[in-house]
Amino acid sequence: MKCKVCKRRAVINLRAQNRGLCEECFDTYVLDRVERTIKRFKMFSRGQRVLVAVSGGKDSLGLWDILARLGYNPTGFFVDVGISRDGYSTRSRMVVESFARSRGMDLLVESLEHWWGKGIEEIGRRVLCPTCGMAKRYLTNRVAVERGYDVLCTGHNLDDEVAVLLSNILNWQVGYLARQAPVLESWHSRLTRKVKPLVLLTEKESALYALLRGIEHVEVSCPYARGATTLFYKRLINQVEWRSPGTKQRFYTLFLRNKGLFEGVAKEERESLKECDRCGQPTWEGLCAFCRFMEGSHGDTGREVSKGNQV
Amino acid sequence: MAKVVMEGRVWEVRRRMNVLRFLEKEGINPEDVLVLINGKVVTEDAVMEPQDEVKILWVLSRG
Ligand code: SF4
Ligand SMILES: [Zn+2]
Ligand SMILES: [Zn+2]
Repeated sequence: MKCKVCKRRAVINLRAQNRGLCEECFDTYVLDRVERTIKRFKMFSRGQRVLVAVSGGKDSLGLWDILARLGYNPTGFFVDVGISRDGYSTRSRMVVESFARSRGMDLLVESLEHWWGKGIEEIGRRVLCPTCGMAKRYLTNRVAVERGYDVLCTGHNLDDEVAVLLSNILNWQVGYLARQAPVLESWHSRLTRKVKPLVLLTEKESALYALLRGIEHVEVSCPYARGATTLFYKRLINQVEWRSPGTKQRFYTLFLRNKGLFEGVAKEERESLKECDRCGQPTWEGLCAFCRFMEGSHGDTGREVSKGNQV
Repeated sequence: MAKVVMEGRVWEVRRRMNVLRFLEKEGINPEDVLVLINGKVVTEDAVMEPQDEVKILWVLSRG
């Protein structure tokens, strides 16, 4: 197959767009697509302070690389959750740190151990993965707000979003559907604005970008990872995509166009937002989910955000 | 014979065949993978020649 633009050898067949692209034209396509996504959904602009949540995986490191190349001067943020099994956290942290070092990019690292005196294996116990996700979101939001970042970027790609969308629809999770979007506005001063600049890039495109850019990422998955259902949905949707190219993007963008259907629910949720009695983070109840959990197991919501830890 | 490797699985492919044919035969959806022949990323229509080293990379994560 030849590149539709320059006729060189293609590295990917974008069946949804009915064209193949060579390595160079694919690179241009990715940068252009992410830039357009940022503009189309008014995510952020140059000069704003941009934080990127990085895990060591291909999507988040790829995103960080793309944003830097586009001139957004992004700072990376890694949460070391303290998973010692398979040396997972240490390995991930080393991957992220060496990526930052080799490209001269700013990186912030925080660890659960530093905040709560212990890692997730002790804090989470039976429900480790969901608790870990919650702790990461909590800490990331707090650090983004308290250090004055304008926006927090995550590496969710089109496949991630579509899998979640399918799951939310299959279960008619109306509240979640109301909230699912490429931009989550901050409707509270202690809630950071969250954006997903990769939402119009498929997982395959994201993986290819990382590969062609020589981005070394964590290959093994977390020993406590769940998400088998997400994976199942992704494969299911890819079967539909193979038979009917373009389905994935249509499913997602038409959902966004029809999001007004859920506005009533969204408004109700926004209006009932309060501040957590313990840590001041926004919540719908007296205590935020994180504090409620910590109260049951530990009773401490951690130290203040420090100025240090900049790598 | 072309040697095809995917996450620990190995195939020896005797006949010349294109990537799509191989993936279909093995029940692998081309949307789920990237294929490299002798270290270069290729599209599904690329042909696997007898001396080729083929690597199939799974792209989907649990995220
Ligand atoms: S997969 Fe679950 S346990 Fe592992 S790092 Fe992610 S959120 Fe934490
Ligand atoms: Zn080209
Ligand atoms: Zn709280």
